[in-house]
Amino acid sequence: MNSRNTKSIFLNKPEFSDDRLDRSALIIGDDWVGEEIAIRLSLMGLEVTLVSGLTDYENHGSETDLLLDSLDGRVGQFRATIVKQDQSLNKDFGFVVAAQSAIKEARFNAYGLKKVPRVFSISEFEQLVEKGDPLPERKNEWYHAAFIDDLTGDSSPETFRQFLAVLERLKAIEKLQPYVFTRYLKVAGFGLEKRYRELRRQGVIFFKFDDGAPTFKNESGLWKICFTDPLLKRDFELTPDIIVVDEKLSPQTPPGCLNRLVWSEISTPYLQSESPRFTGVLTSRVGLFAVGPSRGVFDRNMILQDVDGVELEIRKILAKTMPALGRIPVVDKSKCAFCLTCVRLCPHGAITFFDRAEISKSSCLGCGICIAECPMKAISYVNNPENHFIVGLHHDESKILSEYTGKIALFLCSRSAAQAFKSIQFIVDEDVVVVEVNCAGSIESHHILKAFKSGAKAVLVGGCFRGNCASVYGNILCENRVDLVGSGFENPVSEKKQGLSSLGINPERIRFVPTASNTPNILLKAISDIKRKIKGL
Amino acid sequence: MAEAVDSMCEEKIMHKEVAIIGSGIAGLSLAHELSCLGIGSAIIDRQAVAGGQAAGFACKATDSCQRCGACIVHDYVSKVTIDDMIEPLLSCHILDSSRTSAGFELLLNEVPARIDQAKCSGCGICKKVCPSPGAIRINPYTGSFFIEYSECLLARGFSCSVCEQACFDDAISISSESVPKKVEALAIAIATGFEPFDATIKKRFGYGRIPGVITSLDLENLFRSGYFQNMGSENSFSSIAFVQCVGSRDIKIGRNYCSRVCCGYAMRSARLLKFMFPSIKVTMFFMDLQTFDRDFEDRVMAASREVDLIRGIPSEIKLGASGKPEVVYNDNDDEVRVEEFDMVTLSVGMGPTTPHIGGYLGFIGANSGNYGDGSFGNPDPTTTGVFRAGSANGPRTIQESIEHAAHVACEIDRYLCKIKSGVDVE
Repeated sequence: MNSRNTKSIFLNKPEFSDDRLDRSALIIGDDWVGEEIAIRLSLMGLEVTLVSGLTDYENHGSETDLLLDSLDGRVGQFRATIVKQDQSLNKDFGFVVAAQSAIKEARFNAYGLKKVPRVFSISEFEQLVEKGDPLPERKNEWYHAAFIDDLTGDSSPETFRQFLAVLERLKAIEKLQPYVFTRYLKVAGFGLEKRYRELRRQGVIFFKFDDGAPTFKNESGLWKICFTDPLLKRDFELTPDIIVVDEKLSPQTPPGCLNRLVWSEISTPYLQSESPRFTGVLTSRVGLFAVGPSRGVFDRNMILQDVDGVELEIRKILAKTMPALGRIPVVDKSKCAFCLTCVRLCPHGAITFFDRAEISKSSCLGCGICIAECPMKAISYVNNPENHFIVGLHHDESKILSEYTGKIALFLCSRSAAQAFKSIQFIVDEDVVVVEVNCAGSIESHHILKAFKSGAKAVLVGGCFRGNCASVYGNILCENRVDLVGSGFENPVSEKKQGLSSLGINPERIRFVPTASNTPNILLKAISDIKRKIKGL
Repeated sequence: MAEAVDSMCEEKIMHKEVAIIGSGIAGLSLAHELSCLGIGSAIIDRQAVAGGQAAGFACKATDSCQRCGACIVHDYVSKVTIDDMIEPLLSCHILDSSRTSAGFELLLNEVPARIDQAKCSGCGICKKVCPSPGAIRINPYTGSFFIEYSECLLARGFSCSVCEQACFDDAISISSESVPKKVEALAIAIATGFEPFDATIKKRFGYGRIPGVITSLDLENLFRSGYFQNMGSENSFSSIAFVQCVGSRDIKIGRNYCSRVCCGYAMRSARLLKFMFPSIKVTMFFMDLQTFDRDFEDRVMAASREVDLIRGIPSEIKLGASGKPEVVYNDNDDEVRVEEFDMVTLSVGMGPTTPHIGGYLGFIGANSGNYGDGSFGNPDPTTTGVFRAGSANGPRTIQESIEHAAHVACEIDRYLCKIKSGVDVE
């Protein structure tokens, strides 16, 4: 699951302290997106460094480009190594913004076309038109211009916007007939439908193909388009004066060191995790923001909004107005055994390591995955096991016994199942006892066993759906643990499977149920299902 | 009238820097972001419970999350509820609005919460005895009950106190009077969301006339109410059609824009139904599929394997002989076909809201942001100090509304800095 380079963690001395919050930002990506952010952040009084979004010089980088070689650390104090040719520089930054622009790749190959003088990509052609350069010479009285957009069906509205802008400018040229060949018109951008209709009214011809997309034939240096009109069902051939081809927009491969910071093995090639919990520019790492293409957004207006998003998030951190989480785990240094499990598994990169594991208060989101995974039980919420639970499961054994006997114990994630439970709390029969945790990832096997030991007749663990966890994979870890408790694992010494059944408890009595805050019905059904099941046992 | 209210509510003037109209996802996230910037706000909504339309949407998760974002609304409701900087003014109708030298003034009429949420034990006896269906509802965040006054018999001039007498917890006081309120604010944010297209306008689709023809919002309700989960195996639910662009991209009804979100939600719903009923036949009638970028691989590619995609909007939906809807359409070979479906979902588009907020703002409400003209954030000099967030500014998804709210929060912050530093913004 892990490819994080742990070596650097040893090399970095523990210069980190939670009070330190550098007012500086490293911006990765030095074209218009990066520049917009640089201007905004400098206006906020931050010291800004822009580096190229390229990964190496071989990729058409110029010699003046600054490249990011390595990045580590945490909010307030990221440590970056920046290289320029053979020089390198170490510098600390409070914040990191990944603002690489999109890679535009013309789809000549996808359509079987070759780049020849009369064949352009849309960006090339846009520049040509903007500069006012004359178009390639006419072959006939009428000038035929073919625009190939989105025959593959996965183009972006941003590309369609480019086509519309070009077509609008070509209106001024007399006796020019534009044709647009497409699969789906991507009109899902503000104002695009209106502009498209206007162009169609003015005589631009749009062909939409489902199957049987046009084919391109090279005849003595000129490209001929052969197609069946989707409406007339008749075959046509067109040898246009120019062909303009769309581009596939994709995020740039981030420098490897960035990938390692945000678990992008799970969300490749984007820096933002799949989970909708990461709204706006947020990534799984506090203080590292993903803008535009690096989070899967290509619309120019939305990228400009992201600039505001970055300003807002940085101001929140500087002003420390982030809602107090209050549940930051701490490490008992006398128990820590240097195993690095927590460092590797923390989805927010909040744990560093020098002589012992250390958890950063500013980066930690309190999910508690480290607590559950630490084999030495060295980590706990503020040294007090009772703080593990927002609601329920006291440390006091006698209390537990009286509360759990004969009941169904519900372990619920505060972001999903616990919220769902609130809306059905009055409908559910009273023989349940609720244990609410910040993230399902903090529920340990021994919590479940303890509930059984205290007399619970069944345990239901409610976490988020796959791909919805605010801590990237807390729900998956939890589900695996529940499986392990239920079906058991092989004891290497006795070679016997040890699970609930070896304790005389039917594994049917435990279940993980994925749920969301707005699916109380799923939780309700799971409760009645397990109730019915244990009745039959 | 304004003066009469003025004298009545002199005691109850609330000063906030920003008044947010609408407690949907855009209003909630805007209030939260403003609060993070140290700016206090009041959220005004005529509904008794915050969350707006997004809170009514269903989770589309199959065995994994489909990134619809509906679950995030709960997070924002709880963030706003515990925030001291934010004053929720729910069950409030705006009577009048005016511009003052200091900013804006809103006159409100607050319908009191007739059920004390702290006392309510959620037993549900009130709902059982209430003669008006829909008047007593469950609060989706707490599980307690509240009265939707517009549905209550009292609102229609009858006298009734059945629920008050029935309540075991003395939580209901049905005869409470409405309270006038006044809010003074430096800036106003309109976050009134969108108006779903009224599908009955498109008579040829037979919505409201043919059983089995529903809108996408009806489908959300069916998902939420557990209709499909509770469907017995004896029920032969075997086919469903989605008709896209109902009330979008339609110049005849003055909607010269794409609603942007419908292809995404239809595909999510289709995949969820396919997950629930693996043998179900899902057909989607569309003009152009509007999914791309990050969504494309997961959704379009997956959906095209599971869903019959037919380009072209059906010409008509008829009532078939078996009582089910029959869709008349041209198939991909341009042959006219008539096909029966168990259910037809009309993916209704998003339209601008016409908030009844009277006076000064009534005039602004007429301008429909990104719905008509496609302009992006053009500040109109007559509306300085008035901002639009989320779908009130143009069709947006839940996540996009949250992002837009962050952008508007920054704009409001810049505006407030300007007026506080004495720069003339007029």
